[in-house]
Amino acid sequence: MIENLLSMAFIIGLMLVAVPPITYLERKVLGHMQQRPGPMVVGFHGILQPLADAIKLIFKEDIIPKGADRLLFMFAPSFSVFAALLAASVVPIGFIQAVPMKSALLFVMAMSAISIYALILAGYSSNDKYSFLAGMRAAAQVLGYELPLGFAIMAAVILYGSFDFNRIVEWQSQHGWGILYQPLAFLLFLFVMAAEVGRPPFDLPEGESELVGGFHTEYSGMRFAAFFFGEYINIIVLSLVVSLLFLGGWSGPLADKYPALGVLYHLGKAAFFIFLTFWLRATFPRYRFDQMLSIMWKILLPISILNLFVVAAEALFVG
Amino acid sequence: MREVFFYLFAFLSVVFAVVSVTHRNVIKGGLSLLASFVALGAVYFTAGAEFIGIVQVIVYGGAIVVLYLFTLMTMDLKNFGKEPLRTISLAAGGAISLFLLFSILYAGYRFYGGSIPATVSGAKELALPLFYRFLLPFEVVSVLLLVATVGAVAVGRREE
Repeated sequence: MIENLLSMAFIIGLMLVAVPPITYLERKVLGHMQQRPGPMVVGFHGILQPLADAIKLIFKEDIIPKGADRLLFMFAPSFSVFAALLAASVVPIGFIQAVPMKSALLFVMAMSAISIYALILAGYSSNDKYSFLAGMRAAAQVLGYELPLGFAIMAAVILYGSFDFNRIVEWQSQHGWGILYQPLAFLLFLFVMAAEVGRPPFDLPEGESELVGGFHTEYSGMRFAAFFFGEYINIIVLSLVVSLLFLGGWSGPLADKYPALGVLYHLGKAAFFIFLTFWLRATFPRYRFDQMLSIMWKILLPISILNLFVVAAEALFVG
Repeated sequence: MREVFFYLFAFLSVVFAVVSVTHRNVIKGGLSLLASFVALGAVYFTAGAEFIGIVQVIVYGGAIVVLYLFTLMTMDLKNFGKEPLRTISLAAGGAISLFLLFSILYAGYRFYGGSIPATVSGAKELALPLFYRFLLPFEVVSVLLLVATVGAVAVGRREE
């Protein structure tokens, strides 16, 4: 019991504390990829920039526009953080798992499916054209990525024969990393993950160049920040999940003797995928709405269905 | 403890279902439908059927209600006035609902006291009857769904 509470505190603490440094790193990485220094003014190489941002956001006036649906408008940002933290609660980091659950992988998927309502609600309740369009885009995006994502995950589940992260990692420490067996599912998952967390090249609900700020046009202060907390926690959680599914999670040299080392391995692998989302953002322009839908439905969906047959044959032979 | 949560979520599910039918604003109706589905998923959790509970949230919460909301948001909802109440439709709907309510209560009464086995929760326990004992009905239902999908596409295309 006490162990569970400690793990829960650790995971919630980690998720909330990790977000400001990640925003700083993102701006730094993006800057250097575009051959500019990024934030440089506040502190050494701009290292205190997240603190300055936090102070600014906390003291900003909190505006609720006239004609907005007050209740839903206030509910949407908190829901974004809430769903992301719920998903984080079942994901093990090394030996630390807040809520042990047999169908943990499915639970993560359910929570990230639910988290899209934060965007839809924000878009609807703001009573603003841009936000409304963004909300509709968010809804259409879910309908696009849900199926390829589901099939990519099903491929992994067929191979490992379980929804439980502990069993999945166990399987991989016996047979080798999942990416060796399922390179296609891995790539599909990575690609669709960008759509799931609403990051470039699939940041359609945000779309700064077309929709002002998208779903958070009307938000200010900490409500605005809450959306970002939700988004970044989602990125961390899904990065942890990818490394669990395809890169062996916390397994690695000497990890069975020193469990703390396993935590470091796992966080390191996840850090690579977090870096990858920055990299994608710096590399690709945003897809157009119809392009996104046709990529998802016409290319990724058939590939992911075919991949299911491949993985079924593999599971038969590898067992 | 478990019973408390069971009744809490069951109550919430019913309340949100009533709101989703009666609310004037369709978007809010759709949202309370979502809340009702999620609460129902939580009810499955309290009954020990973890897998079905999660699938309920993924399928209904993640896909179907999103589809509803997307469709509702594309429509112009400003002129959604009050419907006049007609006695005939009220009587017919009331009779059907009463009959349904009676049969559900009767079914619940017949199952009363039966204990739920602990093994209903997993995917395996669900898959075994679906793909072994009830394979034929399961496949027939899937063909039925396919027919409905093809029919919907055919009807939608006719305007060209």
